[in-house]
Amino acid sequence: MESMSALAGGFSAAFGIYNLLFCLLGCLLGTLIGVLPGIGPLATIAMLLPITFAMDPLTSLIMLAGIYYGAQYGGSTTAILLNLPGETSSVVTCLDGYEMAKRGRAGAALAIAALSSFFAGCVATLFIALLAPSLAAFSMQVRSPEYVVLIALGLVASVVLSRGSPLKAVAMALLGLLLGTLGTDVTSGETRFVENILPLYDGLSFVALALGLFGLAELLSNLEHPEARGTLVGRITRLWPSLDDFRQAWKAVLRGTGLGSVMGLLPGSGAAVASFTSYVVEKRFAHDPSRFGYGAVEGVAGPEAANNAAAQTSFIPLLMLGIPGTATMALMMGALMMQGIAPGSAIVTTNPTLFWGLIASMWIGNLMLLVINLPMIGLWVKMLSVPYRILFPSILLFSCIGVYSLNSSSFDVWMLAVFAAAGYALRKLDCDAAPLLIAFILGPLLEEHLRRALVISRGSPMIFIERPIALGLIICVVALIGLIILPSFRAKREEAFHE
Amino acid sequence: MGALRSRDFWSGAAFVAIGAWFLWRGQDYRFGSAAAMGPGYFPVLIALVLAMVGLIILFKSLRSHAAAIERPVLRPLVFVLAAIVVFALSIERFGLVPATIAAIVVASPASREFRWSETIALAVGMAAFAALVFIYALSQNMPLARF
Amino acid sequence: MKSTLSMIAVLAAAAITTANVSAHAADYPEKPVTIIVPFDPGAATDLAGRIITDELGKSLGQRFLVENKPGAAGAVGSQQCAQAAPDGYTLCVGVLGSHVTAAITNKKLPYDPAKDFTPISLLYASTMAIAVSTDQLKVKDFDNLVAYVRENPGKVSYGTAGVGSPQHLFIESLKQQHGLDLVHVPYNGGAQAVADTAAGYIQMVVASLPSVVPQVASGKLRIVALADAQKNPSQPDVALVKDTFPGTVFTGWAGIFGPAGLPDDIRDKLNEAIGAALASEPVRAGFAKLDAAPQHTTPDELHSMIVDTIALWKDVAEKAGIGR
Repeated sequence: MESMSALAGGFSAAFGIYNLLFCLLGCLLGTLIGVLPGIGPLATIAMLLPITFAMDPLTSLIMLAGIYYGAQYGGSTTAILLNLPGETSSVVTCLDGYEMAKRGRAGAALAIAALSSFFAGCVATLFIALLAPSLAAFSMQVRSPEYVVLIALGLVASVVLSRGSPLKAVAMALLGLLLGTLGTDVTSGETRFVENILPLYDGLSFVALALGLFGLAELLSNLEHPEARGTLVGRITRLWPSLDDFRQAWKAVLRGTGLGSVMGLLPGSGAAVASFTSYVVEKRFAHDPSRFGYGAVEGVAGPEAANNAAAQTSFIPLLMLGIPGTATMALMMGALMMQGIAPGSAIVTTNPTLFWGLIASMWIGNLMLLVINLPMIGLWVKMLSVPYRILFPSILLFSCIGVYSLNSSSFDVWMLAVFAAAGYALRKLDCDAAPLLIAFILGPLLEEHLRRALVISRGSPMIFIERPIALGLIICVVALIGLIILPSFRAKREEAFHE
Repeated sequence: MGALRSRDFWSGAAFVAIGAWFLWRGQDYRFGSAAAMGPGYFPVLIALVLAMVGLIILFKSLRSHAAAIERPVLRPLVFVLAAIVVFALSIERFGLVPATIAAIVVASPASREFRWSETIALAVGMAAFAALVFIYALSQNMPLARF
Repeated sequence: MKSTLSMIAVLAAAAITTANVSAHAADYPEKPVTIIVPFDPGAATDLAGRIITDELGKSLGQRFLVENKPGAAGAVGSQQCAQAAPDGYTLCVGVLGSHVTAAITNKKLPYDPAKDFTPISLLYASTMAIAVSTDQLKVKDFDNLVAYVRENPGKVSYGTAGVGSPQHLFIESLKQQHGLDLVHVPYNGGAQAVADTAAGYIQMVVASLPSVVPQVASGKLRIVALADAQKNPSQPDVALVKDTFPGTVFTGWAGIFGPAGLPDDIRDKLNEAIGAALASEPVRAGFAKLDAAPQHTTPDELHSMIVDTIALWKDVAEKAGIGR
């Protein structure tokens, strides 16, 4: 097959000594950034951009890509160890990953996360190699109406994946939607609820919200209940997952990889929704869904596979269509264009070495990350046994620095304080912050795409049924909701029956 | 009344209050119609539903025996929040090194096992580490130290 | 003796005073200068800003540091610059969006682009392109497009980077002056607008030239017109908007500003250095990759550009109902 020989050519290019070196550098840097809360790949890639102009295009792209998906690996580490989600995709990892850590299984959680990510990365790379042009064509078909349904799916997922009272989960999701409306409304250009506070024109800072509600609320809780940390540190039994873990997790990894590979093709919201959806699917297909939220290994394996697969396939819209889905992707596109390379469907024919070389290096990068991250597990777990009175100020400090450095904004640090207090209050009121955070991300997207779809269809809601992919997605969503609600109806009926 | 101490009661009340506020302020923006939504459409609708869900939670709490809110422990809360605020105030005016030292010094008393010697050592060590990692290694946009 | 002493004293005093006055510009800059770029690192404006500040740093012998302060489409960083001390050590890069359209669309903007800044010099002009989806519209050039729109009022949608963006105001002014009925579809940034047009979801897009070129290469978009004043060398076959509508020119631009009250001599020294930098090889080469045409102006020319463009579009915005 033509692609296979081109891929082989790509591998030989990727194995060049410089490319390997810079791949390693990118992965290391990416892991470091991923581990540091708040700081994301965006700023680092931006800083390194000028240096890359002097380098060969393939080499620079390899390094930047390494930083990008390396950050995914690193982000899972803090999510599992400290309940600190660095990026949208790590939010779900916090749910069961941190719970596993609390039960002394931090090592297992980290290992499962790394292995799942590696598997997903390999498969996604293969996926891209075989199907690149069709994937690109598919990606083109997905527009606002499809996004509306997809995001609605994500929102439903956010309520389903929550622990505790479903009613409160719905309320938290609604609250998240409301907080998402703060700032400038794309469709009308008006600013909502922010008066003249310029830093709020772009909305509340996601990182401040996530770190405050998740990480710092956890920090405060640990300070209030020092005994609770005992299990985290005291009961660390083994660093490696058990055979049971592998048995439970492998199907989750497969499903997550599939989900993530497809959703990563959808610029923007795809990667975020992938990990939420994977979590919900796993919860639905598990033999014992009640384990979820309390350290179910599938709850880590599935979403981790999904978000790493999505991280790989999200390069397709960038390279083949010239469509950058996120700000980070836009930067990479800028890097390419400064090198004189125009992304687009022609890129496979005009620049085969670049395209296939990058794909090959993604596989190599995943391998490097596995090799880097697995041995570090012991180190990370040791770090957990540092006395908390020394650990927590450091976590707090890095959170502040991370939040500040995103936009060089001290206003965002003030917001961090507000959200830490809010997160504390939510804990006291027994409200789960996860649906809020997910709805906060997805809400504005839903509104934007919904209103845009209606503007373009001149007000006709039939657009959602006329477009085949949208219709297909609606059927999936309805089926999923049905699958989820039906069992609980049956359970309720049985309860009533027994009474 | 037990209900007045319950978590659900206050969650419900908070949701109602927040929903009501957004409903009130949302009137400033054009509502539009379902086919042509204005900027006020989404927020007002969501706020309405939130307030209603809040009411349901509130009423349910009055009927059932929901758990009471745990007593807040003020010490960690106050010191942690103060540390963040201190950092926010000093990062731009004084730079990373002073802000780091200040934040760690203010945060440490949040733990009951706080010791001055450890705190100072940590503050200085962290300042050096942060400067190394963020400013030199990652070239972040922040002043090192200015007085 | 007394008179000689006093003469020497007077002469000395005179020497010292004049030395102090000219020491102002002669010694500037004595320490590193901060240039605020009100956009994310890696954005086109940021990249261009870094290229020019590198060159300025070399010629003026001090470090010129870029500080990114993104937010509110350039308003956050611009406000910070306006509030800084006018000593020449804090400057900023301002663009059409932050220094013209922001004032028109946001009545509560906390700074006045015409009064709160000292314009120093323009840096570059960038080309705006009008492109159509090859799937959706079979029109070959701008005249065809205009005819098509006139025959199909309300059927053609055009995408821009947002409500109140320069592209939006430009098209609205065309609509009002020439009776074109187009439907505006706002996006959060130009890239998504281009993507949707390439996919055929909307028919037309107005965006910067570099952002549409990849799609033209892959055949999904056709550029029907450029809004420059003269033909763009990289697109020699493409018509200009002003060929169809005489006098209609629209270019994006970026310039360097200082806070209001900057001493004239510092301003002029910077202006001179910028002129030299814009003519230098590294800047010309770097700007060319970003489709930024280096353009040097006097401070007054920059100031009139701002004032005139605001006046030009203020009415357009009001009639179109843009602005709060």
